[in-house]
Amino acid sequence: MKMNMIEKYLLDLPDYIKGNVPKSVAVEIEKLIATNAEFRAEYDAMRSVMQRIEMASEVMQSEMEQGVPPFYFANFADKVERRIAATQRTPMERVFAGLRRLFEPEGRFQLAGICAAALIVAMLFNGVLRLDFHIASGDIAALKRAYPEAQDEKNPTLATRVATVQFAAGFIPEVSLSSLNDEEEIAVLNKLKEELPTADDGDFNILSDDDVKSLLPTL
Amino acid sequence: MTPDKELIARFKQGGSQGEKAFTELVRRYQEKVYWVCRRMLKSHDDADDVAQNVFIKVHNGLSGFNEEAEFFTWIYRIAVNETINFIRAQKVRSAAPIDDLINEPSDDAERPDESMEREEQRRLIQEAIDTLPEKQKVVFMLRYYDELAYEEIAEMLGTSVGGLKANYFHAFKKIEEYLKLRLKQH
Repeated sequence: MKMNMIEKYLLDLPDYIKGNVPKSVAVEIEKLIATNAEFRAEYDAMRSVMQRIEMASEVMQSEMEQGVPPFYFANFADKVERRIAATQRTPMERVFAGLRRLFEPEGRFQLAGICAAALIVAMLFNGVLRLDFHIASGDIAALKRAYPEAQDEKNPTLATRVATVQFAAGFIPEVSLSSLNDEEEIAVLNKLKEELPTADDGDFNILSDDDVKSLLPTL
Repeated sequence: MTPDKELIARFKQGGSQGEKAFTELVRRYQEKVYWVCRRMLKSHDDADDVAQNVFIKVHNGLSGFNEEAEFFTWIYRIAVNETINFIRAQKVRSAAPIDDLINEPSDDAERPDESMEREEQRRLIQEAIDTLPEKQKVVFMLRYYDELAYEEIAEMLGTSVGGLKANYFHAFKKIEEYLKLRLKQH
């Protein structure tokens, strides 16, 4: 047999092994297997690899089939229909369709996620608002009303000092000076810096009797 | 069963009857198209995505479909092209999918010997198929798994029957070489 004919039948080997060749071709291939050692070796090698593929394919196919969700093919045409309809919608219709999809069984997890996220944002927002209430101007005004002496910078008496301390203590620790307006900020800083007694000035150790008398009832 | 040609003619007339006819065509070919895609792709989700895209393309092009050609061949060609495009896009996104597969940790330690050997065989064959050049892989899948005639594949891919036979044969030879190489490494 001519070389090019042998090559031709060599290419038919996979189909011969699978039984997909006409009888005339099968006869020629069988003749070659019986008479040509090289062809026989090719046939054996091809049959061996095809057997291995066949065995592996059964496992592969079964694994792939297990990966297909239940009712996948029953719902497939509907999914395609929806996607085609989506491509033909106007932008407004797409928004409404997106919202409607959230209430369908497949979109419920998305809806739950969106609700949870909205709840978290609402809680955070509420928390921030509550923090703001502590430093709201209304509270500062109330403090000012309770301790009017703290506003009197020109007469630094003991009462003023005490009122200043109480006024400053009225602020919760997390409130920074940046939350006060300029006027309030200067007033508080000046009182704390200039009016409170320190170890260096005499006021820390020496208080007059009047100061002691007025201080004790307050303490 | 209503012939494909009649369903296509109804689709071309338009209206709700046309859409019903199209849905009927989807139901008729959905499994074949899905499996063409799935065998070449790594996951169900990818195959689902590509299979849906195939039918959207079919819907968009069906009005201009030449009824002299086989609808089945046309839809297969779209499925193969969509899958190839998807694989190419994936390759661009992830640099070394085959290396990832080879180095993938296996849970062989928990399996009995026979099952372990079968699993190893499956993994090796899958790797070998993944290493095939694009065209050989497509021909191998369409001929070996879908058992399409060479003439049909030739029409889909625009290649000669002789060329396809060579591709099919060399696909097996490449798989054989890959298996030999891997067995030597072990």
